[in-house]
Amino acid sequence: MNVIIAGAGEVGGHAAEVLSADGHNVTVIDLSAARLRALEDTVDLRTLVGHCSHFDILREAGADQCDLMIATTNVDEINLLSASVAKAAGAKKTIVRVHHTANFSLRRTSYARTLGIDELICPEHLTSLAIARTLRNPGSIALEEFGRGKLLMQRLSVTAGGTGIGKKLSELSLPRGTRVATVERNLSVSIAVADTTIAEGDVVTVIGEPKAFDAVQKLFSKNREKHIDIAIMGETATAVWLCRALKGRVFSVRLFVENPDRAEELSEKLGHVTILCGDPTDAATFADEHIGKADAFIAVTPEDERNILACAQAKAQGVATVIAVVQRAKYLHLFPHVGIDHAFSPRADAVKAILHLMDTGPIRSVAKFAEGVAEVYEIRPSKRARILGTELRNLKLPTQTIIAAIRRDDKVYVPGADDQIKDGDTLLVIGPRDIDRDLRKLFVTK
Amino acid sequence: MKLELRVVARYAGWLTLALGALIAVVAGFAAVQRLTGRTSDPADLYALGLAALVGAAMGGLLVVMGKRSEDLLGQQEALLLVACSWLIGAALSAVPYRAWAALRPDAGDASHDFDSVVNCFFESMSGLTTTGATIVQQIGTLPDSLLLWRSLTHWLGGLGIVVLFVAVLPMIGAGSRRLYRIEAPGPSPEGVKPRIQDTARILWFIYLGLTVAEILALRLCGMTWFEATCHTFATLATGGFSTQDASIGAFPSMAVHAVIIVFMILAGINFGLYHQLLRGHWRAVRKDPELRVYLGIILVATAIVTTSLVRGEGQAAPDAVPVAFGEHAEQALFQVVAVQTTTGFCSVDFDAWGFSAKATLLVLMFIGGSAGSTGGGIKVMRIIIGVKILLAELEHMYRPKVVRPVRVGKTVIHADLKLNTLVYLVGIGILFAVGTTLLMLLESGNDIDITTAATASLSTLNNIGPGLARVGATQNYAWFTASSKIVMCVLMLVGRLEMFTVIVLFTPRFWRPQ
Repeated sequence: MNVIIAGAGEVGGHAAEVLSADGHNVTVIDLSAARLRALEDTVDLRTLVGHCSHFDILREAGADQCDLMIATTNVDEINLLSASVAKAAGAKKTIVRVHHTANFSLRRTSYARTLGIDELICPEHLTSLAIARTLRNPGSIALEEFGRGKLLMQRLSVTAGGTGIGKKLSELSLPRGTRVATVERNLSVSIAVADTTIAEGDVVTVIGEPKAFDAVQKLFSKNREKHIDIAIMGETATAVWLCRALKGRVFSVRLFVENPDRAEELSEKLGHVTILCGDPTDAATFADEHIGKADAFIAVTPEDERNILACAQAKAQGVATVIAVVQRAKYLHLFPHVGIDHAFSPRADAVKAILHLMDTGPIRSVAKFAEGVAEVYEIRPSKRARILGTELRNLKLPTQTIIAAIRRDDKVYVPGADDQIKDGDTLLVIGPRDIDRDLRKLFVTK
Repeated sequence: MKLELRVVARYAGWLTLALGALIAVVAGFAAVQRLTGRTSDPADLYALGLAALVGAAMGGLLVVMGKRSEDLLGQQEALLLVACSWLIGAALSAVPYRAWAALRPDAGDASHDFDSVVNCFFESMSGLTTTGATIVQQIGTLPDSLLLWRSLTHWLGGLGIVVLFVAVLPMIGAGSRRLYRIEAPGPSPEGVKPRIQDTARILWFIYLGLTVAEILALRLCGMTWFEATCHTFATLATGGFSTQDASIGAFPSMAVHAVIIVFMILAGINFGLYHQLLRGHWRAVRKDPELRVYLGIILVATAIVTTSLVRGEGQAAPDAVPVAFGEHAEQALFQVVAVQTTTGFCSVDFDAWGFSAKATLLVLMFIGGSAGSTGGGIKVMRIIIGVKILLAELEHMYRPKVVRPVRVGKTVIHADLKLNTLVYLVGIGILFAVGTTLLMLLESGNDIDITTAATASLSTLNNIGPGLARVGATQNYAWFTASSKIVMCVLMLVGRLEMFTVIVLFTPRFWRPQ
C-alpha cells in the first residue's frame, strides 16, 4: 500500500515506523529537514520537505497513486486542509488526526464529510475512553474504535436485590438504546432472547449508551455501583477528554492543574469536575486533599517522567489504582517495580486506530469474552449483499448470534427488530467463536 | 483630554426638543378636553403650552450652542449626557405642574402642593425615574391633562429616555452603544441585534405592544379609556402614579387587580426574553435562571404574606369585615408584586399588616425586578450573583486551592462583573445608610421615626414609591422639608441610573482629567 504521512511528530513518526515495518511504501512530509533526516536514519521510507497542504508537494509525494493519506501535524486546520487537498489530488482514503473538541465532536456538522475526509481520529480521546472504561469496570469490553465513546459493553453480575430477577427479558424495562446481549449461566453462554429469565448468579453482558448504565445496574443488583473517587493530575487534552468521559453519578473527579489561567479556563469548561490549582505531588496539597484515600490517581501531564514519579508516589501513599499516560516506550519495564497499575499511550492508541482503519477486510474479531466462548465481530457488509434492506426480524443469522449495534454515518445505536441494514453500515455482531465463515456467507457473498 | 461640552449640549438639545414636542401633544389632549366641554378651565392648556414653548426654547438654545461640535461622543461625554438628560428632563417635566399652579383660577385663595418649585421637581423626578412617590395630597384636584402627563413621564422613563432617543433619533451614531450601556447598565446580555439602534427599537416595540395590550385589557375590565391609559403607563414602567388617592384600592374589581398583577409581573421581566420569545426560543426563556428566581421570590413572598394575613396579624381596621382566604391571597399577591417589581401601587393599606408581612415587603424592596426590565431596585440578577459569590467564598475558606467559576445558568460570571456587582451592592448599602441618616437629620424638627426615614430612603433609592409608617400606603411625601425632597430626588436619580453614572459626576477628576 502507498501511504503518505503529513507531519513527522510523535504520532506521525510512530505510524511511519509501524507501517513501514508492515511492508507499506511510506512517504513522510514535514517542514523540518532535521527531523526527517532522523526518521530516515532509523526507518525505511521516503521523505519530503515542504508544506503538506500544498497541492504540488502532495502531488510530488505521489498523492495520485496513494492508497492512504494520514495528516498528523500538530495544527488541526492544516491537517483538515491537507487531507482535503490530498483527496482532491487522488488519494483513495484520508485519515486526519485532530486535537480540538470542536473539530472532532459530531453534534452539529461533520467536518470530515464537509471536507471530503474519510476518518477523523483523536488519540487523546481514545486514550481517555480506555482509561474511563478501565475505571468503570475492568471487565468491560473494549469498543473504543467502534463506538467512539457512545457505546459501552459491560458484563454485570446478577446479585440479590436486583429488580429484574425472576423476570423474562421481554418484561424487563431496559432503558432505551440498551439491550442484554448474552447471559452466562453455569459456565455456558447463551444469546439472550425475549423469554430468557434472569436468575441470581447469572452474568449478563449489556450493550448500550454509557449514560444509561446507572439505570441498567439497578435491574441486576441491589447495591448501586460503588462510588469512585478519582484524582487527575495534568492539564492536557487527554485530561479534558478524560473528565468528559467520567461524567456520571458514580464518579467524583478532582482535576489538579498547576497553571492558574488554565485552571480557570478548564473550570469554565468542565462544570462537573472540581478543579484545584496546585501540584498533587506537593506534600501539603496531597495531605490537604486526602489524595491517599482516593480510589484512583491518574497522571496525564505531557512529561512521561513526571507522570511515572507522581504515580509511584501516589501508590506509595495508599491510592488503590494508579494510572499513568506515557508517550514513549522506554520506561515500560519500570512500571511493575514502581507499582503503576495501568499505562496508556495516546501515540500507541493512534497507531492502533490507524491500523484498524486500514484494515479493509469485511469481518474482524474485535474482542472475546466469557473465557473465549463468545466473540464480538465487526462486519462491513458488501455493497451487493442480499441482506441489505432486510428487516432484522427476518434476518436468518447463525444460531446464538445477534446484531448488537449498528454504526451509520458517525452515529452508533443499538437496533430494534424493525431496523434494516443499509449500504455503508458497520455492524457489531456477538456470537459463538469461529463463525467467520457463516457470517461471511451471509454478509459478504452476493 | 478635555471634556467636549458642545457635543453634550447638542444631543441634550435634541432630547429637550423632543420632550417639548411630547408636552405639546399632551397640550393637544388638554385642548381636546376643553373643546369637548369636559373642562372649562384653560389653566392646564396654557401651562402645558408654556412648557412646550420652554422646551422648544431650551432645546433650540442647546442645539445652537453645540452646533459646531464634533460628532464623536466619548465615554465621558456620554456619561455627562445621560446624567444631564435626566436632570433637564425632570426640570422640563416639572414646568407644567408649576405653571398650572400659578395659572389655576383659585391660585390666590388656596395653596396647592405645586406652589413650591421643589415639590414640582420632586414629582417630575419621581415620575421619570418611575418611583411613583407623590407629594400631591389630593390627586383629585389635578386636571386630567396633568394626570396624563404625570403618567406619561413614567412611561418615558420606564425604558429610559435616552434609549428612547437612541431608538428614534438617527443622528446619534457610534456613541449610541455607549449611551445604551450607561442608561441600562444591568448585568443582562445586551446584544439582541448587532446594531444598537435596532436593539433599542425592538425593546420599544415590545414595550409599545405590552402597553396596547394592557390598555385594552383594563378597558375591558371596566376602566375608562383615560384611566386605563394612565394606569397602563404606570404599570409597565413599574412607576406607581395613580389617578386616585387610594391608588388601585379605588378600583374594587378583581379583574382590574388581576390584569395589573399580570402586567406588573411582565414589566419586571428582562425585555430581552420577550425578544427571544418572538424569535421562537421558548427553551431559552424557560431555562432562564433569573426568570425562575424572580418568579420563585414572588411565590415564596406571597405565601409568607398570605399566611400572615390569614392568621390575622397586625391591627385590623375598626370597620373591618372578615374576608375570605382568596381575598387575602389576592391582596398579598398584589402587594408582593407591586413592591418586588418596584411599581408601588397599593390595593390595601399594607402599613396596617403584621410584622412578618411588612418584613417580607421590606426585603422585597431591596431586590427589585430583573435586569433589563423596567423595574428598579438592586435587580434579581445582582442578588443571584452576590449569593453565588458568597457561597464560592465560603468554599474557599476551607479549600483555598479550588477553582470553581461562579455560574448563573450556563454563563460564567467573570471577575469584572463580580467586582462590579459587589461594588454596586456595597454602594447601594452606603447610599441607603447615608440617605436614611440625612433624612433623620433634616427632618428632626418633623419628629421623624427610623422606620419612616429608612423606608423613605430605600423606597426612593430603589424607585418603588410607598414605604412604611409615615410614607406608607395611604401616606405621601408632601410633609417633608424641601431639603429632604432634594436628597430624595438625588436618591431617585442615582437609583434609576444604577448609581455609577451619577456618582462619577461628583468626582473631581471627572472634570479635571490629568
